[in-house]
Amino acid sequence: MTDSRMLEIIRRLSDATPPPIRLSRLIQSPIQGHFSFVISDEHREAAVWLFEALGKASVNLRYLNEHSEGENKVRFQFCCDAEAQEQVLQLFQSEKVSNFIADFRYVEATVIMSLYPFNGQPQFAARVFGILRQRGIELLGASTATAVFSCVVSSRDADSVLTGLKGVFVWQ
Amino acid sequence: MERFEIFPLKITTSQALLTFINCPTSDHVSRTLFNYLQQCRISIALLVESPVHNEARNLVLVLGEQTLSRIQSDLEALWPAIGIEALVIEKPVAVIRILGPHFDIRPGIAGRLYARLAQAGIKVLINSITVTTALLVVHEREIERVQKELTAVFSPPKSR
Repeated sequence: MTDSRMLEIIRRLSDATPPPIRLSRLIQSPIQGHFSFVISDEHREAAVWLFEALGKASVNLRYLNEHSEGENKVRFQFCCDAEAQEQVLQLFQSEKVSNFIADFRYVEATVIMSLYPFNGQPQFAARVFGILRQRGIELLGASTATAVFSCVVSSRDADSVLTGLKGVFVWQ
Repeated sequence: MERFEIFPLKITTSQALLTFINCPTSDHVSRTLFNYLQQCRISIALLVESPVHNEARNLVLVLGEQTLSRIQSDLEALWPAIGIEALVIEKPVAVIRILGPHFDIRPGIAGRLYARLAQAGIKVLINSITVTTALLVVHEREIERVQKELTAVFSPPKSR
């Protein structure tokens, strides 16, 4: 691939005028605990045990995703309601889990912001990522379903995120 | 064990899974990539972003296979130019959407869904669960097995 082709792509992007994007609904979750970890394929049964235990305990997971990180490793991240955090931490301390996970991270007070309508629009994602990065807000995770774009941030950043989003979307 | 009611499954085939490995966290990267996709009028079937080590991010996108073939050469030029470490593409994959009327008030669904599929040895490439919807990305050859296992957790509409 030639440099000139890449430069042409970036030039076209710079010339473009961003279109207005409508935001019809924004839902902020109650305070959540955010957990992330990596597990190798050979130890996947530890994740099965963990999620089975979470299901049996009826822990409400408002946000969950997993994806491959290559080298036979899978990254998980999920959020649970604040009152279930202690219960979840105890499960992580079980040797059935703790011996097999890496890169464990726990953030005590987070919120999930759910923005509508995403509907597959790349520009929608660009604006959310853009405003978070311009404001120096750490994005703990983001994922989409058909109509919704969900992002997880620390609860102390929630007001700043809302202010930023109000500046880059057309609210209806 | 109780099975949860769901609406009819929606299965979208002929999709491609793109994993951008170790994306720098600067605004420039996501702006360039998503602006390019917007200009090409690409619709994103699924997006997941998560942190990895050294303040880098992994970005996962699911797009239509035909759509990808239209833009793949441009993407191959873009990702190294904006500092992304690698792009891994898997295809063909399918996106299975599970939508339940009570997902938001019935805890435990996500845990049971994950455990069931993992116990069955089904490799889920992406699993993205929000308050009302679960999206699973699997290899197309796994679709029938996934549908079978889902009946253990969910009550399909035809049996209601």
